Amino acid sequence: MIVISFFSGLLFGLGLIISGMANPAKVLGFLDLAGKWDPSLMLVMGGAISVGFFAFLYVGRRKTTLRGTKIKLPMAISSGCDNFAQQAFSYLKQALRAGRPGLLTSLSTEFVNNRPPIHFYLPNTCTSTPEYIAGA
Amino acid sequence: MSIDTLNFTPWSALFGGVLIGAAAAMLILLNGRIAGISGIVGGLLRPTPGDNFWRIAFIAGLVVAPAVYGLFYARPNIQINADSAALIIAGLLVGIGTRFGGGCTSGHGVCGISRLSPRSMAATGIFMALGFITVYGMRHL
Repeated sequence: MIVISFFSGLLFGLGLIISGMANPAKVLGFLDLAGKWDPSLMLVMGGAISVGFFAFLYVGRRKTTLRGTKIKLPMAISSGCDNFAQQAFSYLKQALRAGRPGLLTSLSTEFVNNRPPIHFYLPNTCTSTPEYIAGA
Repeated sequence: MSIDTLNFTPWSALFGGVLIGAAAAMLILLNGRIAGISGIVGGLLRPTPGDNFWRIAFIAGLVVAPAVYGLFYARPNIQINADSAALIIAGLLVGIGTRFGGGCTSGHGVCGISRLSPRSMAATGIFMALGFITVYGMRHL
C-alpha cells in the first residue's frame, strides 16, 4: 500500500511538472480569460479524465481493488459546512435586499469604487513583476 | 480574449494530464483511494489509526517528483509573484476552501468528473468560475 502510494504520488508530481501546472503562472494564464488566455489547464484535465474515466468505470461500485484490498469511495458526504454557507448567503441576501449595507456589501462596494492599486496589497510584486503577469 | 500562443503548451499539457490520470487510476485500482490531494493532506490532520502512512508516502512521492524530474531534464521555470505573507494567506484560503468544498482540482476535477459525479462537476464548475472572476478582478479592474 505504501509503495504504491509513493509511486502514485511520484507519477502525479511528474505529471504536474511536465504539464506545467507546477508553475503558478501557467494556472493564472488559464484563469485570465480577459488577457492572454492559456488553455493548457483544460488539456491537462482532459488528459487526466480520459485516463481516469476508464479506471473509475472499472471500479464502479466495487468494494475491493485489484489487489483485494478495500475501496473507499466518497458517496455524497456533507462537508458539514452547509449550514454555515446557507446562513452566510442569507445574511448577504438580506443586506442587499434592504439596501442596508452590511459589512460585506459596504466592503465590496468600497473595494470596487475606491480600490487602491493591486501592488498596495502585495508590496513585493511591483518590483518583481514580469510582463507576463503585469498584463502584456 | 486572445490565446496566449507563446505560452500554450498543448502536447506537454496533454501528456502531463495523462500521467496525472494514470496516477489517480493507480491509486484507486490498487489502493482503493481517491487521489485528491487536499483530501489526502486533510486526512492527515485528523489522523485515524492505520490510515496515515499511505498518505505520507503519497505526499513524499509528490515532494520527491521535482528531484526525480531534475535527474533527466532541466527543472522548469517557476514564476511566483507573491511575497511570503501573500503565499501563507493564499495557502490558508486554499486549505479552508477545499475542506468546505470537499475536494480540489484533483479530487473533484479529475476523480470526481471521471466518476461522472454531478456533485464534483458542480464543484469544479463553481471553483473554476470563481477563479476566473477573481483573476479578472485582480488583473483587469
